[in-house]
Amino acid sequence: MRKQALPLYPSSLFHDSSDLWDNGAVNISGDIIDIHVHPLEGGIETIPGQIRSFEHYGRRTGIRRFCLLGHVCLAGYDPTLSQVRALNDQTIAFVERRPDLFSGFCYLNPRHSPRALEREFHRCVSSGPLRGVKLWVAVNCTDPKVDTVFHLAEAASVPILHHAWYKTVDLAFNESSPADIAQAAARFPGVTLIMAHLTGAGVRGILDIQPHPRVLVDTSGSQPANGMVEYAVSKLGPERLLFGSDASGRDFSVQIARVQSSRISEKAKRLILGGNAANVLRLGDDDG
Amino acid sequence: MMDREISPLFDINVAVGRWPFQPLEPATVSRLARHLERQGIAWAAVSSLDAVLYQDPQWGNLPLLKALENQKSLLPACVINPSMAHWKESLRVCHGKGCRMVKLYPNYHQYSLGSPEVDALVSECDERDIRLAIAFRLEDERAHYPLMKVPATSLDEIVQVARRHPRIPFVLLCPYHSEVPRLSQETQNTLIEISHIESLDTLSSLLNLIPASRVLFGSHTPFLYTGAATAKLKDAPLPAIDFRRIGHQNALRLFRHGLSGTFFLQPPASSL
Repeated sequence: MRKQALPLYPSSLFHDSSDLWDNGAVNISGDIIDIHVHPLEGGIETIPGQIRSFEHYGRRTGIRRFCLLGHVCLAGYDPTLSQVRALNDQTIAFVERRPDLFSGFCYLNPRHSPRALEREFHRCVSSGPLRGVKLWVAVNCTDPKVDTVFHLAEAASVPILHHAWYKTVDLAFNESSPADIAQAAARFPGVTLIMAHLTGAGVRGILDIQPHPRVLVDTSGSQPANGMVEYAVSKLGPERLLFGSDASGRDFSVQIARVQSSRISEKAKRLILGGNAANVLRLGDDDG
Repeated sequence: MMDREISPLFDINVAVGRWPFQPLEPATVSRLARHLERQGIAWAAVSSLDAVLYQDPQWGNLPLLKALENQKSLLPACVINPSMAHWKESLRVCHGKGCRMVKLYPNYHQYSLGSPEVDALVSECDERDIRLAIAFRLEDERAHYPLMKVPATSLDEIVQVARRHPRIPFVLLCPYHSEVPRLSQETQNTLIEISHIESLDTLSSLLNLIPASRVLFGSHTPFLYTGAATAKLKDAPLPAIDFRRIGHQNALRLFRHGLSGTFFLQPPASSL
């Protein structure tokens, strides 16, 4: 009996379209929305120059809208109330000057009092132009301190974009893992949670959030690890991935190439690169 | 298809084979060759992934050398572990079968770049006209398998070995942006490849730290999406001369024109 040669290894276990490696990836052009962007530098006085820079990057890369999350690193892991306000003031200024180019999320530190959190949320989101909440590492998302923020987001029907990472090195302050995100999602099933950093989450993190349909993941950050977009699409569906760059720490073009280079359908790429974010941000025809 | 003005490319950092923690594509030499050609990559230095973790790297090197015999645009690079007793014989055999570059993984093979065996290897490679590459890492340290955490190769040791052998060009694989300043300022004979370099305006920012003459195009295929590396070149607002240097001229100069044997410098017609 003629023996059949075994494949080098069963790549179909990893993603469903291994044949696409023989056919080549399909690049798409068109409207891109970047859900995970930090300002290029600090200070409201720098905004006019930064806007020109973002316009330049937009023309070069096809990004038509940048969702600003604040320059969170500048204020440290555990920012004060005034630091949070200053950071959000900058985000608001960007959005108010160019609502056609920028969306923004309100950065909050759940270690602040519930009253302070409510005040800042109402200022920025309920009464302001921002369309979501950004949480970083000040508090782990399994800590009950986050409850006020989650209740506010749920009541206003706005998403929370939450940093998460699986690390085999030291964690940053109260950094959350994808398993923590899954726990929070189980406690607040009515909240749309965007888990940041697909490659940081990795295979395990994708599986952690898979049972929670309102948990999405952004593609931002880390090296453009081969196969991770394909794996996430196969486990979550393309509707649950959002393109993000994590600029200004990362390169817009490189992060877009992560999605463009992946072996998924053209339709899936369009959803990831802009369609899903437009839904999450509730962008209408007059939003640019 | 790659823009004509920055193709053809020479990719100094490509591997093929098996990795225990995930299946990586392209998984075969033939698929790899087609993939690289579609990316506008006319030449690549290719090593065996298997050779990194096999107890004897030759178990990975020799099958790869065989598979590359008919791949005129793929330059064989072999993994050598100078802490093993047979490293000289391994090098001799690999050289005889067409190897033009040696890759060192001191972190995965647990030896110091300060050891006398490394100095002996450097000299041997020089005599055989084999280029030397040293890998900082293979994967992001934050994402290593928890039972196999491998620290990056020591930047101090890399600087020291480069300074002990100032006439030898050392190709450094997978450095981070933060590791470039010391390499640029404290050595003159190191070249870095760009696969793990990323910041806003990656190449413009990088060329503020190191001249284009010391930068090589590298993708770290199959660990990273090849297109992410080509995107660094494609969208960079650099003069055409720097594109050509980084894209292929520096690498071709490194391996010197007019090599005989299995390495041909004419790119496939379809990639021009």
